[in-house]
Amino acid sequence: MTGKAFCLLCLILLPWTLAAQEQETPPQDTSPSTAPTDSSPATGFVPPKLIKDAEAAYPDAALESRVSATVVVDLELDESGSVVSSSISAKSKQRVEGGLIGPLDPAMGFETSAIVAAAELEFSPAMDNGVPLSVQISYTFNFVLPEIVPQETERTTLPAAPAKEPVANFKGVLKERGTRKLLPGILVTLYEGDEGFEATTNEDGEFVFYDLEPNEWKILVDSPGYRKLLTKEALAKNEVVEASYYLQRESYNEYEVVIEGERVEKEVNRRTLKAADIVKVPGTLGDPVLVVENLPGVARPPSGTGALIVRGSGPQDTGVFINTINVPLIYHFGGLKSVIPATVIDDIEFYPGNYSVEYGRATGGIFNANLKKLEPDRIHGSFDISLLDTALYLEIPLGDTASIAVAGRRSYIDFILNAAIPDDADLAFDTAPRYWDYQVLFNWRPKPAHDFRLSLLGSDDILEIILDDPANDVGIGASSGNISFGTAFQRLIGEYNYVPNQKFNNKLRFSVGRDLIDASVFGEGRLLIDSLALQARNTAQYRLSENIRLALGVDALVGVTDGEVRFPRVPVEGGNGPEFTDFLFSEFENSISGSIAPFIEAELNFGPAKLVPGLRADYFLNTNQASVDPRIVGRYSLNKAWTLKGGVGLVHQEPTPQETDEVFGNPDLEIQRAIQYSLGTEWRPRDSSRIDGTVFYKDIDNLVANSDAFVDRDGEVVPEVLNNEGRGRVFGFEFFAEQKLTKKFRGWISYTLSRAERFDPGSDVARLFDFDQTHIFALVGSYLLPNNWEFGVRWRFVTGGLITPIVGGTFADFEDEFLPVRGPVNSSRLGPFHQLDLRIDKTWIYDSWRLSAYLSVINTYNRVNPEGLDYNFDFTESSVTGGLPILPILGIKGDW
Amino acid sequence: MRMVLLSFFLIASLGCSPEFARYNVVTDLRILALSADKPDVFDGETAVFSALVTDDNASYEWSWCPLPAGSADAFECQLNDAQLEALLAGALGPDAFDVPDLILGTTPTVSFLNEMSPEVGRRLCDSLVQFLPEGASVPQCLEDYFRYTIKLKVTSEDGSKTVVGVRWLNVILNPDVVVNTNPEFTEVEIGLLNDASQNTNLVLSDGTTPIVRPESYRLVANAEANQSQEYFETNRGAEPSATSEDLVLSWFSEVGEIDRIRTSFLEGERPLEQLNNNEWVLTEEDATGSTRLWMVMRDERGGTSWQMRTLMVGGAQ
Repeated sequence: MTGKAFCLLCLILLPWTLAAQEQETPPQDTSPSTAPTDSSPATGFVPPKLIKDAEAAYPDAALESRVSATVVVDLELDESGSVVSSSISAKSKQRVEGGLIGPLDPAMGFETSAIVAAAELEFSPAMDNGVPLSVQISYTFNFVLPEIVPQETERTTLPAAPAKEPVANFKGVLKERGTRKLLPGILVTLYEGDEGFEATTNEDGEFVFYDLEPNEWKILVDSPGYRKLLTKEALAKNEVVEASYYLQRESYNEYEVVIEGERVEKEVNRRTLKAADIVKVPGTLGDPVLVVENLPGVARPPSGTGALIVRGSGPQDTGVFINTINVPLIYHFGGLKSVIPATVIDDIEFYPGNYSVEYGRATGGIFNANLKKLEPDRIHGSFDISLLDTALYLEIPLGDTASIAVAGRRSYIDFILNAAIPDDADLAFDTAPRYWDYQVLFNWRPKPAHDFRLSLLGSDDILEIILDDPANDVGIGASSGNISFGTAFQRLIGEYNYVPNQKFNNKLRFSVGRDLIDASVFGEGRLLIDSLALQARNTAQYRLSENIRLALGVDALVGVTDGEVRFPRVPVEGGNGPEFTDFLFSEFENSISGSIAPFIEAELNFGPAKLVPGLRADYFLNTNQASVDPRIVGRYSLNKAWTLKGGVGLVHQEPTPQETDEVFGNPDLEIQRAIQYSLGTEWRPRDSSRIDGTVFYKDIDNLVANSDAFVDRDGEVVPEVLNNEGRGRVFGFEFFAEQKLTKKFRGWISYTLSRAERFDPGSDVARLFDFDQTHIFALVGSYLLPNNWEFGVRWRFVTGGLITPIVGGTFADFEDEFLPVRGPVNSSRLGPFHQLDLRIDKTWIYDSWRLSAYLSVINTYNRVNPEGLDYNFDFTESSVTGGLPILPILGIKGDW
Repeated sequence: MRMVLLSFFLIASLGCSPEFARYNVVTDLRILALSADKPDVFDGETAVFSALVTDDNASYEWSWCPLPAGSADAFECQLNDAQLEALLAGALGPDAFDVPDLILGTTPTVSFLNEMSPEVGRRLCDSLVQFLPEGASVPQCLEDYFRYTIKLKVTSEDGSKTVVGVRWLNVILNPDVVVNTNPEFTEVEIGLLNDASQNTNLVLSDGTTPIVRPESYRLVANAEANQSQEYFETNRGAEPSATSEDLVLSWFSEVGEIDRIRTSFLEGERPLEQLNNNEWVLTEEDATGSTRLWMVMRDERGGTSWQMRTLMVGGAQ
């Protein structure tokens, strides 16, 4: 093995090894353990298993003194699994009823009892690749008092019944340090000398002690998951003390507090990523949406485009939703940030194919970001300041049943660029690249059965450049030196979720919004698209029996678009670039698109088997065509760990308004169709790990493709431009291995092997799809270090992108430049892409807020990743265009 | 979506070019311009084509084509003479007009006689597409013109390099259209950049110009604003709108570096001074001896003219 290969292997295996160690190391102070544990994760090693248990007798002295204990015994086992020696570990501790915790008192007799019992234990031998070993293990005896002090959530537990009306002279509240979350159900111990009392915090985190004598009392709070709190309070006579204590979590790793919801899986592959899980993934600049590019089935988009290319389908073929409502784009300029920040997202869902009939109008995949569900518990907020932008978030409870949150973000690349460019430069930014977005979320849940939500979202990007002399900088065709490019959208989304009982629920969602694209390029190109987008969804689910659930719904989307376009024809996928010598003009009003789609879906559970058949019917408004999409997904659990899964489904998608425009496209185009197949298996050796392999195939027909033909349209012979005679097929294999958080690690490995082909009209010879990428590999991992440091790594390897080579140039007098002569479409490939991104975070915890600083380094080893070829003026020389160089980004975050 | 992405790419690609030789530095065989004495021709008129070629000994081959492929396919003519004859006979009937041979000649200057009347041209536009071979590109039938492609292939004397250039010839279909004419300028003066007197007439008594290196010079053309014609701009699918031509001067040199590859004038947007002025910087590394400067003026509508100056570059005084 070469040195390089070895290093790579280490890089891949290191996080998994660490994770395995982390997971298999026994917790120090956990609940009773009845099986030994080991710390050796080596492959081929079989740890000893307990085959004969032994009960340790509760020592009388300890029983009388009301002392409990956790006794850890270090055992040495021989090759047969017999105990040959035992000793008491220093980790052992005892607890006096009333709260005093300390080392074992020999007088209590726990050690003797444990040693005697340990000698009777029997284990199966430890094996290493079939060879029995002598090993050392730890074994824990838990001595639990027969009468356990109840951990009530009521106001207080009194140490003894007071003889008179009790006087509450010491009150307090427990909060989580950094977040100010109230901590219910935690035991607070108060002691001095031999005297001690306990109280348990109520649901508001409050505790009360009564009739305490004037004294300096010690307060101890020792709760799992938090650092031990030990402090003092002095009580004077006739005085009431009120105190607030802040408990610091052992770890502020977000992973610990976020657990993926146990939603029923009814798709072949659904990747659900909690926003808090993924904001620290290196290379994503804290953006949860960018993480999708590291999942199986997703190709790496060309640098700076932010396109979602899923299982060999074009960017326009993947549906993008927020709360299941269509949005026109998910990324700001250049794909550096998504239009919706992590602070307002609960999770994202991604389906590379075979998705539910709830979704349609997309032959690729489905991406959905679920907005945050607000909890009316406290006022809190956050800020995030980086070199790119600043984001703010504020959440305010409105009574006990409602909350409102306001968030906003603005970039300041424009300020930086304007400051950096000299006044006398040929290029000036009137408005340098700038983006902002805002979100207003409102939740109201007057009763458990009724949940109302209203969300207002908006995004705006703009770039305006003024060139001093466009003829010099751009070319002869540029009559104006102004370039402007702007996109914006707004959505008002209303939701009403009605859940009257366990059997029935209904989700109603509606939205109204506006999409705007306004671009002007050198006075030649003009693009003004203004759309009104209306959408309504309703899904009613009813559980007919224990095994059968039925969902019935409707999904209606109507887009009304006005536009003015002056641009060359832009060929669809597989075509050469536009002819900038031939500008066309089209103006349209009230162009209708979208579809109305009723759907029905059943979920049938038969023991280990689950079947989810569904039917969706769309009536497409742009093409006046109807489609019926039957889809079915099946899952079969072979055992607790293994699941087989598969699905087949029909999906339809209408051509874009540009494609059906009579000037730029073909108004007679029809809807496109794809059949998606997938078959896979899933292995979950433990709750925190999953390994998944899926084979997929997609057959696409009626595909919109470029045409050189002429057709008779309304009695006039015109160029067809586009037709539906394209076909395509995509096949491949996806692998996903995920190690969720143990205590310190989370990460995944994703790999896709695929081939995406297209057949142009009239051709039986397949060519590669524009974005075909044979190998797509990503390794993502984050590890929590001591003192709230966290380290993350991402490494990606992707086959190089396809290009259509330029084989020469023709001097065009009318342009005063050479125009490229192109070789066969997609007949050449760029070199591979690989990149290492690192991120390190440090968090400081204060009583009522937290502060984090992070350094994200993109492209750490400064690889020049080929993104395209640049040519000299007559195309006789070329050089590779690289992507982003090494880019360190600093930022600070705070939340309170 | 594709237009959106494309617009963004155009913006993103600004200023990101790697270090290649500049477009306006001429080191070997180049076609710098192709001109027609009449950019627009009526029925019965003759257009004379000439080329600004940097190699005096290059060989020429001129051709024309009514049905060229796109730029990606090097504007290759999609028909040969026989196919064109048959196609036009099918579209217009036999003997509708005399079709010149596709090859126009091999001399530095060639002429083309347009014998297609507006009526015939209109019929051609209306019916030709029905007779096109499979895969052929759309003929360039505009509102007022039928557009031919004129192609020139030049080959260096030793045969080591060939350059192909194209331009259009607009055959007028609308008799009321105001024809385009070539924009004219007559000279380019040269002066020292840092000369307070702004003298741009650096000519010695023997007629030569004392150019030395290293030095920076002002280049001053004398184009007039009236060379920008008014016309009706027509985009397919849009109403015509009155506008003025954008005049563009392209500047080339064999040595040194001319600051701006192109300068331009557009009424109301960029002043005439911007069109007429440029800077030329010579460094120690530049060769001495005879050298040439070329200036090409275009009007965006096929109008082209040029000037050339031959200079002697000497070492520092």
